[in-house]
Amino acid sequence: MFLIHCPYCNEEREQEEFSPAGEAFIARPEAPEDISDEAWADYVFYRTNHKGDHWEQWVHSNGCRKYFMVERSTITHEILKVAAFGADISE
Amino acid sequence: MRVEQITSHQIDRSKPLTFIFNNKKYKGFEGDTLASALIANDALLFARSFKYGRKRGLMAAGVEEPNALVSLEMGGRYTPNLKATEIPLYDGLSAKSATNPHSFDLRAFIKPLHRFMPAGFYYKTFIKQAVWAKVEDSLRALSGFSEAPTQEDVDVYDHVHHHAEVLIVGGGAAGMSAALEVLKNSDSERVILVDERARLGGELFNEFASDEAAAIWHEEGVADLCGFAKEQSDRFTMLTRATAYAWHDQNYVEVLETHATGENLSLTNGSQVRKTLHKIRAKKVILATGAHERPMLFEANDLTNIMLSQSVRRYLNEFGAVSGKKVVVYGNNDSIYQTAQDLHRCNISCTVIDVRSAGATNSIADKTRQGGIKVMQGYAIVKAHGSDKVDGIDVALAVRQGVSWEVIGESESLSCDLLATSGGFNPVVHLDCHTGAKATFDEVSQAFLPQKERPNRQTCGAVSGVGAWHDAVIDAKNKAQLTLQSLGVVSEVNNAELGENHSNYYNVGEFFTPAAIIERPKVFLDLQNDVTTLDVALSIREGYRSIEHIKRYTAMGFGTDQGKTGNINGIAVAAAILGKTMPEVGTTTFRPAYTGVDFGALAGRENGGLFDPQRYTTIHDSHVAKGAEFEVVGQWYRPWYYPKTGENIHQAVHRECLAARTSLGMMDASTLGKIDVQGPDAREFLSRVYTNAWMKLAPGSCRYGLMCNEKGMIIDDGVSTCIGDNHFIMTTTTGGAASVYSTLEMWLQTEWNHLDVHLNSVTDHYSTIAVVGPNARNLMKLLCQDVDFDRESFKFMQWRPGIVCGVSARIMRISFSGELAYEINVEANYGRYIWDQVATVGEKWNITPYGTESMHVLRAEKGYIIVGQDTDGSMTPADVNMNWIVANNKPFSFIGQRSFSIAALSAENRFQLIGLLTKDASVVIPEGAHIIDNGGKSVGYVTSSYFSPMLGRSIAMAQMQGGLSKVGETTIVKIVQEKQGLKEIPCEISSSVFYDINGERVDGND
Amino acid sequence: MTNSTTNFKPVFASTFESMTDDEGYLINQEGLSCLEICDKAIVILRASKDPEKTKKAAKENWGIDLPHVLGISKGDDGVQCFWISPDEYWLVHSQFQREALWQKQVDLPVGVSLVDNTGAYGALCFKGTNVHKLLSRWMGYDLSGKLAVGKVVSTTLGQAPVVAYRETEGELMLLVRHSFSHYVVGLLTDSAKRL
Repeated sequence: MFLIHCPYCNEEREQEEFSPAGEAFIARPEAPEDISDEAWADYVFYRTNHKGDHWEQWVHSNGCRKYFMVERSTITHEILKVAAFGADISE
Repeated sequence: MRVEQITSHQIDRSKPLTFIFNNKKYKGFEGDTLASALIANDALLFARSFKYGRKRGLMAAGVEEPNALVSLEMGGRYTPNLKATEIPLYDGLSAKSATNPHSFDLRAFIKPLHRFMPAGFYYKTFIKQAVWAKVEDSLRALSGFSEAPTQEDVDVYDHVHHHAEVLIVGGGAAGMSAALEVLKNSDSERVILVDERARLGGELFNEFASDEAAAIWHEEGVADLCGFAKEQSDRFTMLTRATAYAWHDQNYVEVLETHATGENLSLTNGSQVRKTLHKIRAKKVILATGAHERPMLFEANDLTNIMLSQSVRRYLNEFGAVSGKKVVVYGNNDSIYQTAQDLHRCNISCTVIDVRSAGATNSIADKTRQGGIKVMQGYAIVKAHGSDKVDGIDVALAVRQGVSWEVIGESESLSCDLLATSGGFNPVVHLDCHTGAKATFDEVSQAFLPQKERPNRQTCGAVSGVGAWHDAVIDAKNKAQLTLQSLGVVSEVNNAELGENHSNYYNVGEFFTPAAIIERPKVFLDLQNDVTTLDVALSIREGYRSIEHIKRYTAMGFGTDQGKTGNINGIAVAAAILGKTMPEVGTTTFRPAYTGVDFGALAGRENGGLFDPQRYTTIHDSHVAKGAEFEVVGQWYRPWYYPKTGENIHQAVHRECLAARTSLGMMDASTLGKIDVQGPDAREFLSRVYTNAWMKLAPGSCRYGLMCNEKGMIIDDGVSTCIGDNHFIMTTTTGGAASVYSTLEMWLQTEWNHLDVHLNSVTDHYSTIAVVGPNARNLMKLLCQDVDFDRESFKFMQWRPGIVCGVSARIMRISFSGELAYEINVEANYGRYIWDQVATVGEKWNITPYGTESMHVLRAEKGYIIVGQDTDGSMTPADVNMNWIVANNKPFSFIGQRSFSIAALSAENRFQLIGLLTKDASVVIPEGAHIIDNGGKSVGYVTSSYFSPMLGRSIAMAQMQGGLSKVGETTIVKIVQEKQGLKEIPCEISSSVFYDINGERVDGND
Repeated sequence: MTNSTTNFKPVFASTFESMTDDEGYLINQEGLSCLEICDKAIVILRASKDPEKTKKAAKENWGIDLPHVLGISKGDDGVQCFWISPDEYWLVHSQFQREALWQKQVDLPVGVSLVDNTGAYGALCFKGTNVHKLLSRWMGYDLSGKLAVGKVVSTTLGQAPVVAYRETEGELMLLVRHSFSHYVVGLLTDSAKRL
């Protein structure tokens, strides 16, 4: 059970208030009808399984109900960064 | 036996207690543990060991005890596998050994064969499944653990959340000192102090006899802490009998507290809490968990009455009990002299055997001799003797040759009846390592110390290598100051110096693992699983190198003591055999829980009726009054059917369905999810998430929508209502409400956040009452005067606002049964009132409430799917014959659309939704039954199946491979019935619409 | 035409009414009282993508300066405004004010929306020295350390979603969805027995 800092509520909350929401930065293809079955399957089914620091989505389901992004180590579980959805994560 | 009273004793001789152990009656005192009372009674035999059946007694005084497992009490209060050392004695206690030590033991009888039963014995012998199956039961019966409970745990367990600025784990000298320092130098910071024992003080009681200052410090410290606990109770919590058993990320520590009533039956009644599970989130943690002693190694080091030296001291000093009269104290560090002096003070004869030679040790050996105690320096015990308990030892000379020990010369024999050994100390680093930190080996302490730095935690006292009590007190103060500084409470740290040699555990010598010892038989490392040094050697011969593999191959450390006394010695033996250093071998991984936790405590109050939320609509009490039976749908309790007196479910459903189709029925549909959709892009949003078209639906109208995921599979459905161009109210299935809402928000927030539309869950805001049947219009006219209900004015799939029974309502003409029907939506606080009015006014048409069972039958007659029952996440709209609802010409790609065109989704043998009509119309196929083809293969299964009152025969819906092209053919469903065997049910494959095929009933008769 | 069907007298049932005593208390013991407050009405205000629009609408219609994160602000006639999320506020008021408040809906700019959610919630008021002891059995939120007067948080109580806030010193308010009301009452009354 860990703590997550919600970037909207600007507070640390217990993990039980949140739900994981998959890998971050999966963008829906702009024109699905123009891409191959393989490319569509890649978007629908394939996700990276990275050992190390990994960007994922979480939602504050029992709080503000907003989606945000978390950079977390899949080895140590340490949360390195938290960012509002759409924020610039490069810094 | 008991010794005469001294100040350090914590038993109260004015309060004698009686207890029963292994069917014998004994006496003890308030303040005893079960173990100390049995030591006092010289009842030393506890168990037969797991593999070899050897007789065993107590080795330790605390949670590190490997042998003395007992079953406590019986019936609803029965607790298996407790250690006798952790049970506080109470009057009337009844316990027995987990295994009966006195009975004839097959394993001990076959002693000559033991050398053929090393580690890996069970695996290698029984790897053939057939052999294992035959002997498994008998072997399990032999194992050294209590029987599993057979009755429900009747006790109450609470969970409590805490938030603290500082948590101190351990209430010995270091913990007490740290707590006092924090409390005295702060005002409002919240502090929690926990200790696993019944009283604060830890090992301090051992110091009282030799150091008066210890007794004074202890008394004052306890008084001060109790004062803080009383006067500053809003910020200081002190818990004893509270074991911190797990430390999770970001200083989340779980502590299990056993209340005085916990094990004590005579004090418990139903409302008192037996144990409390404290869930503590601390900004800073100070670990003061102390250290466990490790034993010395020699042949037959497991005999009864061979104990740890500090444990013998603790029984003597804290409990006034000792189990021998002629004691040998043996070890590799100065603490053995303290044990001998304490025994001597109580007039118990003892001899000290120090494996370190005379040159190495200091004046403490001489001082001890001067006090009249025999001391042998530079000797090692090679073997112990005894049958029921130890009665003698063989010793030989021990010398240090370079980096290792050697044993030389002939051995001589000595007699003794109690042997106390000390091979050094293992810091209790377990909690510190739960989140993955690695302990590091320190040469001076000959111990694995906690990682030097970890965020937001300090360690102090024996756990960080500071063994002596007065040094521990100073170390704890310093660490507390650092903690206060990191909290911003103090700016400058007050640092005091520790005494010389403070990081050395009593001048401890190296691990004593010469070949002459570890190559002997029966040199035990793990007493719970009978793992010896030869087993470690065997695992290395067989090719295992990592200590994790050696552990698992030998089962060393697997028992309920988790290797607290054995593992570090095991690492030393592995290091000696492999020619590696201690840090090179390293430790195995420490994982929660540190000691056992009752399942009842983990569950807390979340069992029985409080296990899961039971959600009711606001109409619930009316359903109860009407005698409804309930069905659990997700977390909701929905009326299932409303039996009249003497009716079973089939009779009730029969009556309810007929009433709805011939006159009037009513149903509580409040549990369905309702989502308010508002904004300029509301239409586009609906069009993107549903398969069908929404851009032109007029305000005042309703439309059924089908929702798919990106894989093209149906995940939900429901009717949405157009309130205005920018305003819709969606409905979802009851079970899907939360996940659909969450998924829609995900799309809106993460993919389409350019859309100007808001979603709000209004599921609980509305009550929904469905009025169903040919007389529905008549009823509505009586309930609502400001709406024109004529069939041409208020058409099917439209809605009107109106005042129903005086309450503002949204009335929707939708139907899940195919009958003329209206759904009245009102604010939930009026739900029950509306329901009762509808029931009363509807009496003239014999209005009949119906539940989910009848609802299922009515919709099945019409072939309407229930998402999650007729679909399972693998059905596309085409699979359920609903291509009509897919609008392919939208200007954007709706969710799932792209998937419809992939090859797999138009394959010929896809599972498709069909109807089944049994040849014998009275047979109702069980749901889940499989359709079997001529080759004996399953080609589908039945998803919904009922007896249809209107048709007077059974109907069923099923998923069947290529089913839609097989309508009209015959097929067979096969089921296996209890006691009747295989039964074949021939069926005709039909359309899934069985009744009112042209949809004529929906407008009613007038 | 007069008949019995035109003389309807609607009966309003509050969320906890079937579980409270005659005075409206769920729990009333030494150091701990839990009273249902029956006249809270809640309207959800969703913000425009243009924050200025929302600010203006709130100020002009209800005299509200939108609160900061997790804050509570006040408007005309005692209407309270709760921050729930970056684009969601709750206008919490009494039942008597509903009509008047709701009428402002027609003045709202496109992109700002109102949703009545009054029926979804029940309100409980906790008082006494044992309030934190009770709630800490089921809530992981640091109520004593982090929930100051004027703050509102959406969090959990056991497995139920709740909204906790303080408007006055010495009182703690909980908003509970009515479908979780029996569950919440079950948890609280069970724990209260042992306090």
